[in-house]
Amino acid sequence: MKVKVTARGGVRRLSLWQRSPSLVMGLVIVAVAVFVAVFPQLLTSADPYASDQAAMLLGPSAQHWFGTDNYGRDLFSRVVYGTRIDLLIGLGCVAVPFVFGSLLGLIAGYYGGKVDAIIMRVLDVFMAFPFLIMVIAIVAILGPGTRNLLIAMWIVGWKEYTRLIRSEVLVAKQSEYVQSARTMGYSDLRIMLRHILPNVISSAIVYAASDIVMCMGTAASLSYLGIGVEPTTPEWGAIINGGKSFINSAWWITVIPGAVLAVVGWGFSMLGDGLSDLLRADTH
Amino acid sequence: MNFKKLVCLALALVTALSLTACGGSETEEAQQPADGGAADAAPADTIVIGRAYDSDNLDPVVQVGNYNIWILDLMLEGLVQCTDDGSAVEPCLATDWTVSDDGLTYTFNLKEGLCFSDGTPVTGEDWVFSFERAMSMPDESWYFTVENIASVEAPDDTTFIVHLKEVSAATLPNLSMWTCGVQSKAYYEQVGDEGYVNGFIGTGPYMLTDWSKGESMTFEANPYYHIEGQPVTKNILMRVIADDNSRVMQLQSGDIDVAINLSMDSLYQLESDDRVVVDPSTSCETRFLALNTSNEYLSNPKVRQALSMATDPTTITSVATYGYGEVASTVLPTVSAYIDPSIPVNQQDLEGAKKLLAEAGYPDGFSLDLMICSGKTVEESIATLVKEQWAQIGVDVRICSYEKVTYTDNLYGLNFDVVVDYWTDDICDPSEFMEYLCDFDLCSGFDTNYKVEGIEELNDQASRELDETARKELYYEIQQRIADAYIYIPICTIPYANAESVNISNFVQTPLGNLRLATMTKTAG
Amino acid sequence: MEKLNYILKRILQMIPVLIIGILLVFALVRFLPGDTATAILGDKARPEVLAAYREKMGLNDSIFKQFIVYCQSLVRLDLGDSTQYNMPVATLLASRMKVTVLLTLMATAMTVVIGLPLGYLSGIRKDRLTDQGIRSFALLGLSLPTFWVGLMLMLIFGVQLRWFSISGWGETWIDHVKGLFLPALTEAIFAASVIIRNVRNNVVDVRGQDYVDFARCKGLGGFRVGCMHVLRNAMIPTATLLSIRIISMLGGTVIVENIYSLQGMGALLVGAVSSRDYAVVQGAVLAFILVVLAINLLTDILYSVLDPRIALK
Repeated sequence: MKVKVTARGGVRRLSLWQRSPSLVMGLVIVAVAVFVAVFPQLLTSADPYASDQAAMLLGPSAQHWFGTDNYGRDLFSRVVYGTRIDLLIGLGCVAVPFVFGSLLGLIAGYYGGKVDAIIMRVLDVFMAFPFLIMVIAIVAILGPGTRNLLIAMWIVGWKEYTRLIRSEVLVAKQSEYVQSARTMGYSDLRIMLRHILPNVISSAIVYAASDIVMCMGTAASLSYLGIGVEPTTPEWGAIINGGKSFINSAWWITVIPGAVLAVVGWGFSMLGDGLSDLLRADTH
Repeated sequence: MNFKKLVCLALALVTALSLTACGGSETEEAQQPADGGAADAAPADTIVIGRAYDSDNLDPVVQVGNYNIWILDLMLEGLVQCTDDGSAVEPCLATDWTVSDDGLTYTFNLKEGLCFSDGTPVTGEDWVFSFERAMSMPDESWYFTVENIASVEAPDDTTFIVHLKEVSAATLPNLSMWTCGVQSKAYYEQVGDEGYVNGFIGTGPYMLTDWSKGESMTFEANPYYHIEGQPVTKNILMRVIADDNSRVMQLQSGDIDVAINLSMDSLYQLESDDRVVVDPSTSCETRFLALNTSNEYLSNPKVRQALSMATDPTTITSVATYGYGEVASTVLPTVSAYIDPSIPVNQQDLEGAKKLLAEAGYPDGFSLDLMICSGKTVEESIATLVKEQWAQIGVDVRICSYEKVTYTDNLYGLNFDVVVDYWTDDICDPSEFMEYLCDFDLCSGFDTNYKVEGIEELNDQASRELDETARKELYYEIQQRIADAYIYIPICTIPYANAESVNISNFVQTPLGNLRLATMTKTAG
Repeated sequence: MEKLNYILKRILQMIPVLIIGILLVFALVRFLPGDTATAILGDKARPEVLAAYREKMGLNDSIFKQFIVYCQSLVRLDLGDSTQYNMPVATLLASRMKVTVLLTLMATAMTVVIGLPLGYLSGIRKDRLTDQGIRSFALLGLSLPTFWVGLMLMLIFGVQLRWFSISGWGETWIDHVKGLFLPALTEAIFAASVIIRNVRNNVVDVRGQDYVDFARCKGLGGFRVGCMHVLRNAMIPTATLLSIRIISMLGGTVIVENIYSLQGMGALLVGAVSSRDYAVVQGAVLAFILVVLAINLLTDILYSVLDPRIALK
């Protein structure tokens, strides 16, 4: 805690760009993506669902910036409207495991003993279980659709947060401020949430930024395997999957949405990277 | 003994040669320019076929599923067979036959000097064994093909007699099925039911020599094949390449010679590649929408008619199949000779549909779940377009894509509103499909939970009607009644999407899906 | 002795994991809609045929009884028979395992070969152009969805340039390595990106430590300092990360196997789930869990080898 304050004082005069260029670049890319997700209609007037038999598999042009797919749908508008879906999937996949995984890690690390052993054994099982199979099985059990896809991703996604937080808590538990909070007779809940959590959560936040990228990738991969969002939904992975048969003749269907997915993912990765840069600068 | 050893040696040599041939395809390719004209003359020894799934069971009586059925013709032959164009039955191992006056006894004259692929002669005992084994297994899927047979006998090795229980119009088509193919009794006695899963010994042009499950099957020419000069190609390697795209790319890169079970998308894309010939073969594979009348909205005939009017199968067919498919007027495969010509292809009439929907009490529409089987691009395209077309009359469609088994389970449980349904004939006769359509109990009125008045009796009549014209009339009547109930919306029949390298010729897939490869060749270069 | 005790303790800890794993997979597959009969016989099977098949396969027994039967056969080390392939699960697993194991080994080797030098280079050139370039590459590698990378590599190197075979497993060892090159590279790009970032950060950290300065003061050259001190110390956290990557490559192998039509464990498992081949799903997941547990154990042991200061406990 102390270190943090002095360090921050020392670097205050540096601009954010100087302290971490990747954070700024990441923020910009993510901000653009969020803007597109919120106001897709500002960017395109084409209906992402409207097919046009006369415009099948057209290459990129002034009229169709990203070309059209095999139904003659405008790919630019599909990618634009897909931004919202993909961001929601990315954030949705991460939010719940972030909260629950972190809490489990907190509990396991703080209490130790039997609680820890049980949580860690379950975690071991989930770590060892081939996660894609679990996702596939869960989606098969629950039925298709975005909601069930999210649930499946939650069930497999919590473990990294638990591991991360637990190992940090094990260290933080030994620190002076926690020891003194204990001697002051604060309740376990208060110590965990007010004293430990703020000091350990940063690593989970950094991980979450890259996890969003991985979740978007996994969701896209699942679309590739035919599991995932409802067909016709302009989800990026689904668009890429729909174009994979045309990869030789109509490369734009796979290459462009894939590149967009990569850029947005890159933005999130840089955001996470930048965050961890800042944290490292703060603690050194 | 000595002869056997020689054959073994020869086979081993051939195998070794073929292995090196396919293992070193790259070097072979590199050397071609140097070899010059010499290589052009001789056809290749081995042809590699890429398919999406492996077979799982080769017991002719027990197996189910296209991936078994399609390759059985390579190894198995019967008295008669379906013609290459799927329109009729022609002689195969029988040269001719006579039918008794009461229509209950068929006497077949068999070709002389027939041998199994292991060199042993085909005897009457083998014929009787093969039929009686199929007839003794009533729990198996294909039992219906032998159900009507009372008994069989083989007075000598070139005569075979089939006694029927009752007169049936589908006798010869039934006898062309794999359940009625001749297999070596001696081999069966050696391996039993369990070994039969991995293959049998028949008289077909090829024999299975190696099977790495889930990966590949190796077929070698049957040296005792009864047609002189066939099969032309010595080895056929069937490789499992699950991903459609990989199959396309391997075809383009020359790793495989023939790619079967492609998607329409891939076929369309391959049109522009001059190394490859696109070969969509006529099939009996239909696509239609089945409306589940247990649904509140769909129980109303006006709603069903409105949905039918809102659908434009012509556009759907041209977009979903890139024009390879043939738009259908009834649920029967378009290749069928029994389609009622008086039923027109459905024409879209949005105004009429809206009016009907309003009459039915739903002027603002409603929403429906449309079920498809995941990973099938044609189904997905059909669903996508149906969703768009029905949206125009206010019906909101949610497409539910389920993996195969869940889809199947939902079909059995009638757990859907509308489904992109399909049928594939296994036999070159309408009787099989008609039985499913007309016998309500077989699959809940073919996934509609609707009993069309009188069609079961009509079908019974038709199955016993030996006069072709009268039989057609009965089937027309059935189709008319089904059409009037608006429980199906016929879309199209789609072809088998196959593609071959330019140097492959005579790759044949019958409309029933059977691969006929005895004359297939690959010229070098 | 201490080590042996530790290993024994770890093996004991694996037992509950295995038991929970067995229970979990057993429950999971039986919750799936449909059953082996619907999977094998298809949607237009005659009702009596379906019923007969269910009876034959014991699918009408209660779940509890099925579980008891399964456990009994497990005790006899019998994994059962595959309904889809009509062969013993153990034989099937053995033939599929070799593909996945070789693929993962090659991918791991590539990960190390790409990840370590680039990460090290990036670390010692901190904030210079090289570092920026390598970091951007690594970030990009993290952001690209695996299946897309696989498709692109296949399209470019397999179809257009024809540098590598895309015909899968092949017949000989040379075929195997050739056929697995692109799939392994596909997997390695993501994993190497993770490793590059990690090695870089560790190198940066370690270079700031006293003993590196001390080594320099002793007059050791840049290369020796690099290899002996910086890289070695940076390796320790990287080893854990690498083991996590290997495990996740094993778990995600299905996508790559699907694209490159390899018949490995991933493809087998997905196929078995979709054809409700219970015995295969159970056997394969069990094998996966065992492999993962073994990798974890090995990592811990490797840890103590790399850094003797870390006590095994």
